[in-house]
Amino acid sequence: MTATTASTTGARDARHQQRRGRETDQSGIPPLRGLLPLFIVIVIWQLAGNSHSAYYAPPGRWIPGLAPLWPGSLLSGIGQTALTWIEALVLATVLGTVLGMMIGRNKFCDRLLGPFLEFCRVMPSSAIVPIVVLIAGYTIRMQLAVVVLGAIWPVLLGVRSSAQRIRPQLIDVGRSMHLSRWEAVRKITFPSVIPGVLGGIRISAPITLVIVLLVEILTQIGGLGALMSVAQQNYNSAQLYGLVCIIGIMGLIAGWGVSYLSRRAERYWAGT
Amino acid sequence: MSTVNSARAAPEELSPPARRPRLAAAYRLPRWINVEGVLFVIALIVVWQILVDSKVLTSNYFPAPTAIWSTGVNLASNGSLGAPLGHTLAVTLIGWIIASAVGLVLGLLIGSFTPLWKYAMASVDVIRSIPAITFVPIIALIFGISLRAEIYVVCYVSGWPVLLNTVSGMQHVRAGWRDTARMMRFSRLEYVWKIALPSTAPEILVGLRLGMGLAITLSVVGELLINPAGVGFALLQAEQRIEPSAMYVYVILIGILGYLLNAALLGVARIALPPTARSDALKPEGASA
Repeated sequence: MTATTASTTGARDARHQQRRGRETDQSGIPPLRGLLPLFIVIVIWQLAGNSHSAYYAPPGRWIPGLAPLWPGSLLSGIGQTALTWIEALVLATVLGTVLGMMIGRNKFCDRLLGPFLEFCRVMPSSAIVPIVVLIAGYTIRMQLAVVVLGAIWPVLLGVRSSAQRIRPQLIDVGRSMHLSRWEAVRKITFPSVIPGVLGGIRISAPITLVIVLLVEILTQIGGLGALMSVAQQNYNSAQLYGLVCIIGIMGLIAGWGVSYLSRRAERYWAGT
Repeated sequence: MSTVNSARAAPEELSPPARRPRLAAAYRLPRWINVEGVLFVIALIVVWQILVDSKVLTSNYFPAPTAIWSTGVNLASNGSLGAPLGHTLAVTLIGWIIASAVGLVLGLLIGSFTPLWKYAMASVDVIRSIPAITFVPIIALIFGISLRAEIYVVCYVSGWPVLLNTVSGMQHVRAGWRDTARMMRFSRLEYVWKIALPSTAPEILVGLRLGMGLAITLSVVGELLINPAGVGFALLQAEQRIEPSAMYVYVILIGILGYLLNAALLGVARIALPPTARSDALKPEGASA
């Protein structure tokens, strides 16, 4: 590995990197041929499955299974789930950012709220559902409260750790310029925690969707989760599998959307 | 709170390493005892009690802490506390252990055989992107009301984080270590055992912790929807009898259970992991992105 000149070292390193890259080619997006096992399973299911099975309805029956729900209840279900998901994500992001900045910039707040927040964090959201239902009834507000309580943590913790890592010099700059408390938050703290916010959103977006569905399945107050619950109780497995496919597509689109938006936001704030 | 605190804190924050005198330090308590935090929780409980006693909070759905406590003592004495908690704890642990073992083995396989990764990872990614919770009604439909269905639900959902974290950890094994393994002509098994597993340990641990949280949540879901037993079913029964204080008892206990399981896992990690690997794995989940 000892090279005579810098340039040959560089070239050799590059070659070495390239070779290694080829040998353990496991980074980035997995190749599409990896879909093969899934495809084979679905084909075998379709060909070998009993087309009248109550439990394992073959893929060909999934779309017809959804037909009775089309268009009214299916579209309104999708709309309701998507709306709750977006509302909860926005609420969780705002609350998580504010709380995270508070406990990240203030050691006393951190220690004061630490045990309480830790207890809320480990609390399983499924256990809170019955009690919040009791307090607030079967309402959208109840649903939002439960979802936000479960979805806030990635943003809150991400913001807290980036608020704790703000360079002290930056804080001093704010102080020497006699920025007011609000100005300091707006001009120094907030821009510094944006990576934490975006990273938190990326993690909490799928979690939020899961909790929205969880609450819908548990309470059956509407949305795709309620439709699934009904399909399960009617032993309508074709419809159930069809709904799972729709939710899967929603999850994919949501994932793409969130990573696209957060990349745009990153570029926007990196530019200033 | 904030005004008093900021007035005291402001001059000290100018020099970063300055230590603020903490309540704990004043009484020579060890640092890890969070006096302020405990006092805050106690204060919350006291304020709640005062609000109820002074009839500001008159709703039946917010029983006084003392009422919750006496309900808890009652429930404990007639045995309707230990059995549901034990059931939930057992299902959580069994499901989590099975799921973690399967996830770890699959993750190591996919991570160490590149062809397997190429021909399977995209499928894993697609199935992963379907929210795992949607499989709960499917499992309920296929297996009906049974303990088996509850354990399957827990297993399916809590295995994913370990699997995905193991795969991603194995992709990030330091290149130098990989070269060392090649130079020493390690077999694949030796590579996994001596290089990949130790250097992936922090990520596996994060996966284990995420999986643990999911396992508790999903065992309660399983009990609410599928298997009439455990804390989930106890909650349902209390709801139907309209006994809010009993519900609070169960919710608080399940929170404590989650807290203890998480703490136990962290304790094991602190002992088992080398100091260099700790910082990542012990971070609260969510911050590790």
